Amino acid sequence: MSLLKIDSLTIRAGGQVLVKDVSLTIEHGARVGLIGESGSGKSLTAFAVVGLLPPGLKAKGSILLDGVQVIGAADQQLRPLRGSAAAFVFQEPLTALDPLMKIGRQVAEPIARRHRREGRSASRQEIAAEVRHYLERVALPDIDRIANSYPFQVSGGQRQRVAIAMALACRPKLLIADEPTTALDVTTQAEILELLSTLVREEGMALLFISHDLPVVAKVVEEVTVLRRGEIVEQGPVRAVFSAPQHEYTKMLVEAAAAFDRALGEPVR
Amino acid sequence: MTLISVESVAFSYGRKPVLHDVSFTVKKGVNLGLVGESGSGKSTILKLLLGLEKPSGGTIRFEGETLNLRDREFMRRYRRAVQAVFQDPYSSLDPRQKVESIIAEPLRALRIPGDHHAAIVQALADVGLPADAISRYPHEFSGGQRQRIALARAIVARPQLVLADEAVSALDLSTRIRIVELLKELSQAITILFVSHDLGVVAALCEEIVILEKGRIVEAGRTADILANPQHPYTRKLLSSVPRMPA
Amino acid sequence: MTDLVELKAPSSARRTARSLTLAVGLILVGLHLLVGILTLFWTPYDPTAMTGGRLAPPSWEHWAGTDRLGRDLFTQIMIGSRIALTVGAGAVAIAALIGVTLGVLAAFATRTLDDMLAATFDILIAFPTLLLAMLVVAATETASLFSAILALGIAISAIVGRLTRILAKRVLAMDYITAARTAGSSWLSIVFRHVLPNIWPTLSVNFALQFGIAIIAEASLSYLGLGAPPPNASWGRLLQEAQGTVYTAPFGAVAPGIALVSLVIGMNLLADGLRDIGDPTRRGRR
Repeated sequence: MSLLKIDSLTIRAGGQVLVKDVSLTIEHGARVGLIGESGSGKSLTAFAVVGLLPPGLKAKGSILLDGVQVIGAADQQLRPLRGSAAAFVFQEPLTALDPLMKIGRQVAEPIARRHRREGRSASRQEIAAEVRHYLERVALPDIDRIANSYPFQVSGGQRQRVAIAMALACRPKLLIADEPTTALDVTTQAEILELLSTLVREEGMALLFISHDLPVVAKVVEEVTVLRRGEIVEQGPVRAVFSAPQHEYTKMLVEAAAAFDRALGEPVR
Repeated sequence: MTLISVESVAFSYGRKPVLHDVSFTVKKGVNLGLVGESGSGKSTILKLLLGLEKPSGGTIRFEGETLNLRDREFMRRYRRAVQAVFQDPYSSLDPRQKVESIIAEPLRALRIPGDHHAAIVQALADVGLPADAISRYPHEFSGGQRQRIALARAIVARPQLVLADEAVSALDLSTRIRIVELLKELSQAITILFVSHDLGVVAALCEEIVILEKGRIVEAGRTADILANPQHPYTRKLLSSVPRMPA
Repeated sequence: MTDLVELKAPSSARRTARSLTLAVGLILVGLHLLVGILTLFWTPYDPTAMTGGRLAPPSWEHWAGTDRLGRDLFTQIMIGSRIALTVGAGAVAIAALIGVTLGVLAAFATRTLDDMLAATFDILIAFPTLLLAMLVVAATETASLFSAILALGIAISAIVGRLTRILAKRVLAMDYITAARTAGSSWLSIVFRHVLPNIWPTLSVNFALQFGIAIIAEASLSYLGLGAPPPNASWGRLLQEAQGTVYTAPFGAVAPGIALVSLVIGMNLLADGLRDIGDPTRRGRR
C-alpha cells in the first residue's frame, strides 16, 4: 500500500477553484518534488494532506495518508496522523518556532507527544537524551548551548536545523518540506539540502519537497510533479522531466532555470 | 568612465563594524554585481550609495565629487543620476497612489521640468506596460508587473545608474527571467548596480562582480573570469553551493 | 504558506453587511445633523418658555413631555443634538490637530524625542478621559461649551497621538518610503503624500469612535454640572435635571437617553462602515 495516495483532489474557496483534480502517489521511502510558482496550489495540496486547510476552503476527492482517509475526517481522527504519518518543515524557520520558548523545550514537545501517543510515559532524562539525539542528528554544533537558547539567538540555518529536528522527533513516515531553503543563504541552503537528503535516506522516510526552484528540487528528489494554477501539467522522474519537458509551461520553467544555469558557466570542482 | 568610486569605506552600527575598507568602482555602461550572503554588508553598501547613511570612514565619489549629504545642490544632481529598485514589489509601491503618481515621484521631487505625463507614458512603455496602467492602483497588478512599475519609477528621470536591491529575488522563476531580460535591455542606456545573493541572476546580468564576505571584499573582477577561475576559498564555496540543473 | 491564496477581497455578503452598517450609521447621524441645523432657525417652542404643565407626560403638543418648569422637552432634546455634534466635531478636530501632529513628529523624531512623546501619550492615556477633561475644565475656571470641547479635545489627543505614532512608524518602514527618499522627496512631502493617506483609513475610524466617546464624556461633564450652562443645555444636563423626578416622570430621563444612545450608535456604525471607503485596495477590482 502506498504511503500517500491523493486522488482527484479539488480545493475550492467559494466559487474559486484553487486546486483542480490533482492526483499524486508517494510510496514508502520515495522522494517526490512538487514544483510550482505562486498561486499554483502546491502548499495548499500539502496542507490538505494533513487536513489543515485554512478555514473557508473545501477539499473534494480522496487523500489516503497511511491508510486513513483524510478528506471528510474529523480533526480528532487526524490528530494522531499528524506527526506520526506526516510532519512539516516550513519556509521561514523564524516564524515556525515559538520565539519565547527555549529550543530544547521546543524539541522536547514532539518527543513527549510521541511517547504519550504510544501510551508510555518517558522520564525527563529519557526525553532530554532524545532531544540531544535529534539535535545531534541535524548536525548542530555545541548542542548544550543551542538547547538552552531562544530561537532568535541562533542563526537562520541553525533554526532550520532545529525545525527539522522537531519534525524528525515525530518519527514521521512522510516529511513534508515546504520551501525549506528559500529564506536561507546559498551556502546554508546547500548544507540543509545535503542534510535533508541524508536524513531522509537514513531514517527511511518519504519526502514531499515543495519548491519553485528547479535545481534545488533536482538535488533532493527522484520524481517531480509540476503544478500550474492548481492543475498538474506534468509528472515523471526528475531527470526525464528536466531534460525533455513535454508541457509548454514546464519547457518555459526549465528554459528559464537553464538560462541562469548557463550564465554560471561550467560547474567548478 | 568612472561613475561612482567607493574608496576605503568603513561603516559600523554603533560599535559593531559591518564594513571594512571596501573599495570598488562603478563604470558607466558596465553592470556591476554586488554578491554576498546575509551579514556580508551588501545592504549597508547600498544604503551608503543611496545616501541614507554616512560612511564612518573613507569616501564615496560621484563623477569625481565627494558624496556630501548636506550639499543640497549636489544631492539633487546625485538623486537624479542614481535611482533605486527594491526587493519587495508589494511594499515598494504606495498602495494609495495611482501608478501615474507613483512614477511621477522623482520628477516631482527633483522638480524636473517638462511634460511629466509624456515622460511617464514613455517610462511605462520602456518597461513593457500599457499606457492605461497609469490610472490604476498597484494592487491591480501582479508581482512582476509591480516590479516593472518600480522600474519605471527608477528610470523616469533618465538616471545614469539604477541600484537594484535583490530586485528579482521575490519573483517567480518565469517572471524573474523576464525582469532580468528587461534589465538587460534597459542597461543599454542605464548602468545597473545589482545587489544580490543569487549568483545565477548576477552572472546573467553583470559584466563585473564584487564578492563580499563579512563586510570585506574577498574577490572582484570580470564575472566570466571569477566564475571560471575563482581564487578565494569563500568564492569557491559560494559557487559550489549554487544548485545546478542536472546535466 | 508559500503561495498566498488570493481570495477575492470582501465577499459580496460581507460587503452588503458593511454598506448596511454604513447606511444605518449615516441615517442616524444625518438625522441628528439635520435636526441640529434646523434648531438654528426653528424649534417647536421657545426652549426657555413655559408652555405647558409641569412634568407633563408625552402628548400631541409635547412629544417628549415637559420638564420641571413646564418647558418643552422635545425642543431641548433637538437643541441637544446640535450641542452634541458641536462638542464631538470640536473635540475631535482639536484632538486630530494636536494628536496627529505630535504623533507624526514622534514617528519621525530621533530616539530621545520619540521616547519622550511616547511616554507623554501613555501617561495622559492612563488618566480616564473624563477625569482629564474635568481637570482642564477646572483649570479654565468658567464652565462653558468651549471649555468642555477644549478639555475633551486635549484628553482625546493623547489617544490619537499614540495611534498616529504607531501607524506612521509602520508606514515609514515600507520600501516606498525609502524609494521616495531616494527619489529626492522631502520629509514634508513624504508626510503628506505617503504617511497621512496611508494612515487615514484607520485614523478616520478612530476619529468616529472618539466622536462618540466625546459626546458621552460631554454628557457626563454636564451631568456633573461641568458642562455648558442653560439655555444651551446638553443631553447630560437634561439627564441630570430629570434625575430627581425619575420616578414620577420617567420620560424626562428616557428621552434624552434615547437621543444620546442613537447618536453614539450611529457614530459607531459610521466608523465601522467607513473602513472601506478611501481604501483603493478594498474597493474591488476593475
